[in-house]
Amino acid sequence: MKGIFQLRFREQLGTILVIILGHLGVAGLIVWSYEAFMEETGFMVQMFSQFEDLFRGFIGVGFSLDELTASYLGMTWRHPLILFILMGFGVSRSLGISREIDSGTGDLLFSLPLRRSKIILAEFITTSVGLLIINLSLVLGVYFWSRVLSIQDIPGFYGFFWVFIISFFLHIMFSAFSLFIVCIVKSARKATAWSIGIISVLYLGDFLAGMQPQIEAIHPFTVFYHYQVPEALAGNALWFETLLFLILTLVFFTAASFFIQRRDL
Amino acid sequence: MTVLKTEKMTKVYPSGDGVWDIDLEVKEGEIFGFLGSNGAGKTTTIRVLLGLLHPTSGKVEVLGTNPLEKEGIEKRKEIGYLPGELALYEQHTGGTILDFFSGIFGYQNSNRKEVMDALSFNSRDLKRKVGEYSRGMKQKLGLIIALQHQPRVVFMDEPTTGLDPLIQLEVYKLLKDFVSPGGTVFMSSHNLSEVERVCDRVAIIREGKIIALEEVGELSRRKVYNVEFSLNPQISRKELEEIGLKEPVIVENLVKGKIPGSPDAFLRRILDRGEIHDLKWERGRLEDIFLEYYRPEVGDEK
Repeated sequence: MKGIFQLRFREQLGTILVIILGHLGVAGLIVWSYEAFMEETGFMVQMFSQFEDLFRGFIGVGFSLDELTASYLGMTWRHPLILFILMGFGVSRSLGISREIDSGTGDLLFSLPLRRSKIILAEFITTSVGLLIINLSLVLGVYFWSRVLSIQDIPGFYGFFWVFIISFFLHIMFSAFSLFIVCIVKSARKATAWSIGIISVLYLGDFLAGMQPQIEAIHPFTVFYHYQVPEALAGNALWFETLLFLILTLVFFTAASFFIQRRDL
Repeated sequence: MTVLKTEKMTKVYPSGDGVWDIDLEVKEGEIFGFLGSNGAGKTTTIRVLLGLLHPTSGKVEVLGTNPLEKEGIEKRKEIGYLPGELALYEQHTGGTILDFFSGIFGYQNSNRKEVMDALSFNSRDLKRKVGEYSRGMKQKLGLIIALQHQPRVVFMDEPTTGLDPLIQLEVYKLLKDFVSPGGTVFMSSHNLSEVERVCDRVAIIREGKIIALEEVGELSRRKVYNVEFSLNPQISRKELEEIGLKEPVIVENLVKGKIPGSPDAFLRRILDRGEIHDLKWERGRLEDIFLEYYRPEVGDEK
């Protein structure tokens, strides 16, 4: 298992470094623009009020000045682009197993003297370590720049800590979900389509359920509803959400282990 | 000692293709050839033996264990494998890949250097990325992966694909050296001369079923001789067939045909009938026997 971890970590190291550098840049931009944002808050509150439903659907919070401060940073983590980068990393690493089976390198990998479940565990741990580093870089980046630029009213370290926790668990949960899809679907193309398709539908469902009261009942099932970054930045501990993502991670990983053992390669 | 055994092993894919009722028994120290055309079921059989595929029915034992069970997975430490369509991690160097596999197998005594020397694989190439390797070099690297941990049994799916003839000879020597202290090789091939050169026994698989299982020496004894001679006086085609000439063709005085087995008896009989001139004869190849097995049976064409 250690050998697989080392090989995979070496493979993903370049990607991780690029994402970390990107995150440090993005974090600087966020913090720098935050100051300008706060100067224009009055105008922004007025402007966002015009699109209350849309805004609520997108970031899931209301419109008081304090909430809006947290929402601004909250958008950072809930922004589709950041979600795409973070989730893309975890999901693509999981889908890599499917690509290995298709390309033939899986033949040598799965004929090793290791149980298949151990092999995917090694892969999953490597991906999780990568996600841990990437998530940490974004949180530390924002925190670092806010201190360097002496920005006032930025949430405290405790808030950022919870953002990191909730973000990390959401992403490993989706990584485990993709791993599960890989283990039940035959080809890499199908696994990619199903993984990205289902995650996109959940994201869209979260967005629409936030906008349309008629479908609000489905909101908790969209998963993203529980990704309460503004709440975390406001300094609230998100034990329930973290536990939920952790349980879902374990469920998906256990199911993946079960199915990989029984499928043909 | 039996290294590998299957009883009525069947693997059927949802498409209906597969292998049926495969009965094999391979002994220690043997080079066993698995011969068949493309799509006959060679790779499927090897993948079942390695535990990559679940058999639909029947029994599979490698080194005394079921390859899908815990003990079987543990036994893979004593197994080497060279896949047919070898794919390697191209972004890594050859050295990284060899270290990766040796690390997983966790062996103490590596014969990596010996295998590399036998295959004329330069150690400087281990520092290059596999993506830069030629096909032949990748195949050599695959052979080193399969053999570097001194396995007890090695499965090879078309091992000499992409190798030049000189290196092929080195591979044959390497395999002979590997089995002499008790190693076992199970290799698939559609290269008959390769099988004839290195294998002790051979099974021929056709459309997912084993149609012949014999010692290579026995198969060789079944070879035919292609003969050509002038005969005076002429005798009829029927007479030629009666004295043992197969598929006779007569053009004026010239007679052509095939003699199964030893040509001695035929030559004695033909000399009793008259004088022969311009006798030419050559040993038929194993291919001819193979093609005999693959000749469509009566009714197949419908």
